[in-house]
Amino acid sequence: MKTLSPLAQDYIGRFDTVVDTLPGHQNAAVTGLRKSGFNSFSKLGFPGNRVEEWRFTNLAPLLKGIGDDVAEASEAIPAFDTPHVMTFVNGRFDASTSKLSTLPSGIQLTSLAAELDAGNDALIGTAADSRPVVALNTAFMEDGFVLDVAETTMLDQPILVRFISNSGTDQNARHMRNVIRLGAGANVTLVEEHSASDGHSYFANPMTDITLEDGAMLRHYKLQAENLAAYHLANTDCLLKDNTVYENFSLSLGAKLSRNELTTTIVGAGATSILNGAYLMRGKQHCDTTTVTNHLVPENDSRQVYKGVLDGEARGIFQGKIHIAENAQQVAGDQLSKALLLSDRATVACKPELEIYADDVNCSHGATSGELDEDALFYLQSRGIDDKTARKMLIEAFLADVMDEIGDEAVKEYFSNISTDWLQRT
Amino acid sequence: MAIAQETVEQVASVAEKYKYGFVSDIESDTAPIGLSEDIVRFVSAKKNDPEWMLEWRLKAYRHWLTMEEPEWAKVDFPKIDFQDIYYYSAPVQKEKLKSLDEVDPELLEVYKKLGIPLKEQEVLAGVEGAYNVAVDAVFDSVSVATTFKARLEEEGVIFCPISEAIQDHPELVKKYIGSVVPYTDNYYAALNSAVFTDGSFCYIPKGVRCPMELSTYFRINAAQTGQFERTLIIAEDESYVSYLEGCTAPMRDENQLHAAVVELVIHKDAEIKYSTVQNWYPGDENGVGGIYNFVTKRAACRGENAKVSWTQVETGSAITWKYPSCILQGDNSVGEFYSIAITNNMQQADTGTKMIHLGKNTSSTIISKGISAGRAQNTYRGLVRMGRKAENARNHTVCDSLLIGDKCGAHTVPYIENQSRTAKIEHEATTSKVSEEQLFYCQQRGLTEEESMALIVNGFCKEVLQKLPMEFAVEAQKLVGISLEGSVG
Amino acid sequence: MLEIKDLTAEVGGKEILKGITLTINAGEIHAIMGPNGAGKSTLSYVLAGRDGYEVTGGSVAYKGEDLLALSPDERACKGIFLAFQYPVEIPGVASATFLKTAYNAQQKYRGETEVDAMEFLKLVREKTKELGIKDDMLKRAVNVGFSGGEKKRNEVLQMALLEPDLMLLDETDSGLDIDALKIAADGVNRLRNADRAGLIITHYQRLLDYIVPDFVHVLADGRIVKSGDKSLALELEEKGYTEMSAA
Repeated sequence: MKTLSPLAQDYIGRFDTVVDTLPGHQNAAVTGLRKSGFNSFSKLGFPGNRVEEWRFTNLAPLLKGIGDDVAEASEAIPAFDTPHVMTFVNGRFDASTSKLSTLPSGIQLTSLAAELDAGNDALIGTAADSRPVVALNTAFMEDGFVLDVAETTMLDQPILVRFISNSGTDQNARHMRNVIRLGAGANVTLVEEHSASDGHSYFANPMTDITLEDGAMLRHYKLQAENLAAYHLANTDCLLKDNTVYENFSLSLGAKLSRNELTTTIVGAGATSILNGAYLMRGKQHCDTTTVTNHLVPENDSRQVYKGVLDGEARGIFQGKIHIAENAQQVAGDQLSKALLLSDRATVACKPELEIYADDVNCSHGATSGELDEDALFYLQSRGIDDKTARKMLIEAFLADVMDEIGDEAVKEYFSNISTDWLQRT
Repeated sequence: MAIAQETVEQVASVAEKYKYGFVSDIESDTAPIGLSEDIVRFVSAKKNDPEWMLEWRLKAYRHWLTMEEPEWAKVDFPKIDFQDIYYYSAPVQKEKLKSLDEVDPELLEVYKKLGIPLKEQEVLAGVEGAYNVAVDAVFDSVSVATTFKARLEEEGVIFCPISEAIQDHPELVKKYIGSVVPYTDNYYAALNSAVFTDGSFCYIPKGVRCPMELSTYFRINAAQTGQFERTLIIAEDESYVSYLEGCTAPMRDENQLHAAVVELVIHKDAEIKYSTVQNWYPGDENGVGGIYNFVTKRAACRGENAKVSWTQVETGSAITWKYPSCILQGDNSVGEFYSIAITNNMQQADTGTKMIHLGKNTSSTIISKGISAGRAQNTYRGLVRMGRKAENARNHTVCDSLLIGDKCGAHTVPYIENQSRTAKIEHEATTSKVSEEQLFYCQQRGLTEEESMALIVNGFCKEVLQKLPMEFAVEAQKLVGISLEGSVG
Repeated sequence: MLEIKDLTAEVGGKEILKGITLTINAGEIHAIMGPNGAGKSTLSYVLAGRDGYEVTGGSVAYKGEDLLALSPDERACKGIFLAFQYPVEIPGVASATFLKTAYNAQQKYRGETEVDAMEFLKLVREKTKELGIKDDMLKRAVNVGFSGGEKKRNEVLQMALLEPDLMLLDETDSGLDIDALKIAADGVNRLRNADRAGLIITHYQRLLDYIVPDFVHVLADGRIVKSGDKSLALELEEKGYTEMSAA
């Protein structure tokens, strides 16, 4: 019998009491799903370093218990400007700070808790998951957003969903479950933000489940700006059918320890999965980005570009896997991971993986890691630019081409400004 | 579009018409089946080990008992029953032989069939240019003959079976054995340390450039004998040696285990070039029989400016688990890894390299070419780690996979870890298939589909083939070439 | 030498050649012109035996033999050479190695003696001298990093070396490179004699200024709609395809 960590044991101990109070508890299907998630989690506990997918990320600091650390409050990040806003405070929908009236018909954006209480269990599915962090989320999910977009519906402006944490609750763990479904031909842009308004420690565990019907397109932009005492373990799964496009760009700046896990599964021809991102870390932060793209059918492609800038004693991890199944012919998959180390104690680990069972494919991946180019620095300095400014320019240039991948101009500008601000503070 | 079915079927692998497949009937002196402390003592006694060697083996064996067999994601094989293997099998010889004329003629015949030159005259006549190859032939756990000893002795180079080195040069062996691959390192290294019976020992003294290429041929004969070879090569300051390792094995139905350990120690300004052409029996088209090849090979670049290069062409084995590695400790040391790994039919390979950069200005180059055909699974697993003190270290990795036919798999799993700001790592990998356009172009110029494939695949592997010593390059090209001269002619 | 009768062919399930009939005798140069999508490239690939181009009806006899029954390499060994417009790159394979292997493969097929490296080099040098090409191309990998002109020279060199009986020139793309066209033309013209035949498939009348054809055919919508001598090409240039096809 495996010895489980204090945090795991805490969860296991609490489940029976808590399960009857969570949303949807009157619904047998929901409770059944929570129980299977719980059973799965109880057997496995949190993943340790011996699990291949977690070899670079040690959850020990979290597993001792969420703790009472308080970090310095981070600089407030200006909110993204859009008329459609849904806010969650400490993992629970907050109508007072949300603004959903301007959403056109064909777009339903509601709270998961409300849906579960109303008996809509279909949207969370029935499968128990073998990933412990997802199983935990299944057992303890409290709230989240449900975005259902009808066929061919389009949105003029992006939707912003904000998850804000503060110390106004003694519950320092939040398990959010989000569900997105885009009907055939629908087209939506979503900005998802995670942040805190003070420096207390908490554990955020969002899980987002996305289905794109034929011809749908989702631009999904995620900003992770939790405070520096927080833990953030996120999972996003997306199922792509024929001719769909899933564009994800994740900008990670925050959290003491974070892991952003993205899994796209392509089951349609003509589909494209794009997983891009940037992670900017300093101090003692640990940031893990793990992506998996599964090509299960022929004729589709995927792309991944990730850039990391690491300062202080930060540690960056990038694990990107492209899996091409046996009959998935005529598939193209490209992956690029680049990391910039700014200080002597920053470190990076990278594992770009190709698992290929079909032969008529074109796959490549590249990974580089190093510091700023001496020659380029010198060139700028020889033209009169001081060292500090030169370095900033080069780092911005390094990030610029991944930022260019962002399809929505407003979001591109927003994310670029945020990263420039971060760089100013280097 | 996928390759024509005929081509897929006709992709000649060495396995198809395994020309080395035959069995020799030589009296063997075999240990009782299974593994226990008694067997370890049996083996040790057979080798006339001094007390310290027996102690070392026993420590390793006891440690092995505490370890768990490793499990690898994409390699699938029936569990090995370690008690169902003979750990010692030596051809019976009456006493120590003074010259080749005294060797059992059947044994010599076996080597002749394999095309291995044992007689000095044969070696001199058969070799191109000025190359001399000193051969230390191994037959089922015992080194049968060593040629060219005299010439090497002149230079102070020691090249002999490791069992002999344990007797004649115990201080050297004691100093270095297990210093690069300790028995605690991994499961198969522990097993090897307990029951190794032979292998090569080389010592190149300071400032000496070894006048000839050193080589060892292996052969596993007796059914169910695992072969546990241990090789130790030491290059003192400013020395140089080029070592060739090539293996063949007979056709058998039961899988045979090969768990070798190779340790290289390179001192200041010295260089070791280690080349392997390996074509163990890979199993038939259905995956029956075939060698299990689990090898731990590691080079420690201890001194400044030390250099090591691993060059390998692997086309055999049913299962291969092998990661020749370099520990780049000395400042400015250099590690290189050039590899062609071909898997066909039901073969599975999980191979690659580890480059551990500890010293300043160290550099490593990895060029890996993997070819998969049939239903084979070929995985490249590489690790490049830049330690905190590896200032200005450099790595460049190119890892290409070629898929032939649509039932095989090619996987790349590189681990890249950088703890030094000034270290630079560059890694590129591609996966593709032989394009129908390229095949058609060659055919339109008169080459048959097989000839076209051979040409293209050789082009794919060219960078690595060029790194092999001349003698091996020809054998390697034949192995790589998808040509039907063997099975059709 | 080449007799095509009612040839129909499809690519990707779509019928492209809808009944081609054409006879080419030794010593003749024929040109096939036509609008895009007419099936010009398809014809050359069908004659060379490329996978994916399926013959659905009709026949092709080459020197009295059924051409369609032969594999692409057999057709090559029997003297058919297709000069590609955009020859593919083959990394790691030196041009010299490639040429020698092809030369010897064809020699072997015909029961003639194969040459060794020294003899081959001599042979190739003769040809490069005749053609006025520099031979450093031989050391580079086949077509890798070659400019358009260099690729054409490479094709021409191969043709000069392999001495085919039927030359197929595929110049169907609209990316006009005059220098490259001139090189190709020069190569064909040098080989022109009473025993050889050539089929030039092109969009460009311009090319036919350099390689003066004996016969010109217009291919439209998968069929030959008009045939004539070299003056037909000039007419086409003046009047355009649509008018000619309608006529």
